[in-house]
Amino acid sequence: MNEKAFQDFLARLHPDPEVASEEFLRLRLKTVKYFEFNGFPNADEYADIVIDRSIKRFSAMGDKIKNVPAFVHGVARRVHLETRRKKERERRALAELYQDLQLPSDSYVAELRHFCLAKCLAELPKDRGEIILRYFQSGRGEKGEIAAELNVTENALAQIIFHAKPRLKACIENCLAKNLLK
Amino acid sequence: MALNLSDNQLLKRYLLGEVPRHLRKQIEKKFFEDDSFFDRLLYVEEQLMADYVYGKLTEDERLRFESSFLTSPKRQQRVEELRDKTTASVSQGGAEKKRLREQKGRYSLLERLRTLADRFRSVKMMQLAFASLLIIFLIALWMLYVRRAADPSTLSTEQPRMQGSPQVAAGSPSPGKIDVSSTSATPQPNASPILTPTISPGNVNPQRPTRNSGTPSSEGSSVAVVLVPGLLRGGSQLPVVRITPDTGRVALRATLFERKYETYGAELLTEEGRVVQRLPARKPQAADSVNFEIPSRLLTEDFYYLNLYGIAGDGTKTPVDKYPFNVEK
Repeated sequence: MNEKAFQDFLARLHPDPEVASEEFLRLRLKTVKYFEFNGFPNADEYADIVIDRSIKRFSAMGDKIKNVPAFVHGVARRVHLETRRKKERERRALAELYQDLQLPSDSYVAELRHFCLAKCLAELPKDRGEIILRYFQSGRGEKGEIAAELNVTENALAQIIFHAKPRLKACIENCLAKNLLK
Repeated sequence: MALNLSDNQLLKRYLLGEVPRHLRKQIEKKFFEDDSFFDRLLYVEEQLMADYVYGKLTEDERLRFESSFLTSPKRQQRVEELRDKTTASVSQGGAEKKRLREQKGRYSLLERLRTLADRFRSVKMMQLAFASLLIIFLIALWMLYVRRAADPSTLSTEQPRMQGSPQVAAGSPSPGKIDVSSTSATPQPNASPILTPTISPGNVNPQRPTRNSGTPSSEGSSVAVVLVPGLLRGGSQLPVVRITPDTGRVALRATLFERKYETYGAELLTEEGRVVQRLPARKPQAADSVNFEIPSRLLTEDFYYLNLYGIAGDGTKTPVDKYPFNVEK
């Protein structure tokens, strides 16, 4: 976000700079509240993403935007949906991975399983955890893109995943057992 | 029936995640575009947190609050702050209530005591006022009596009568204001011996009735002076008698600290001890003074003594005191 775009955005909120600042803060508060009311734990971060994106799009669209608060609401909704979809994909990927690891699902609550998976993926070396997660989140065509990013073939990528699984499974089993006893 | 988005119950359900998606969208669009609606929503949010802290939510609402509302650390912190505030105010309120109760108890006791004191005070004041009035009345009566007693026609003992001598009042020798030459005090029956005011001639009433005839004196105005004993010449508080050509007589009022004798006599002496005039015995006109009169022609600008002596029943003369004064013409 550049300074000019920000100033243009403020000017659009109100001609008086002082009033425009107040309007901006109020608009930001509304955005924060939007994410809070929708269950986001870090609403401030998402509100900043929305404001930043709004200012960028405003500088590109300019006069086409008639109602700035409604426009910001639209951007907030889009960010909300994107995040929810990403989280859904992540949840599905973790569920698939958990199943792939052949870990028992009936004995533990979903939140505990999710917690232990995320914890153990983060503990894998050389960003293996992120690679595995992206691998399980991606569709069939996207696996090639991941391999290209790592500068390996798709088969080599599959081998990396295969060799990381035992260590991941052991970690999750320990985590589940430890947390179940608490 | 159109749904009223401003209904607080609906907003409460929205905050607890109980409204369908299309309604959520409408509410969220409205609070972005309408500031007053947004303020109302914030108010409902605060009320919801307060209801949770005070235990006013139903079981189902409480579960939904904890699962869908307390999702962010910020909200959790706000609820904790509200809970701490509530706990502090309850304990403070309890302490405050206790303090108020104690204060009320004390206050009521204080109030009772105060009422009693007021009653007592008012009665006391009334008594004091009545006593003061009584005293004033008695003093007035006494002064009236003394004044009448000072009238020569009422005296039973031998009293040399001075012709044309103006009567000196038993009280203040002047009906008017008294000028003080040396001090600021006005003559009082029990005046301090240090205070010796003089009386200017202009303040004396020339129309005083005489002892003999009751007709006004034909010898001009009179000058009166209050004398106190014990002052030496050179003292700063020596009484001064100012005599003008119109002054006929000088009334000397000798202050008595103890009225020991029924009658008093006096001699007027110069500083050297020469007797200017022997003054006839007189009864004191007041409880604390005895008056003598001398013609002003006998006085020059000089220093004088009034030598006072008491006369016992058998005629024995006993010196009482000396009363110095200055004469200015």
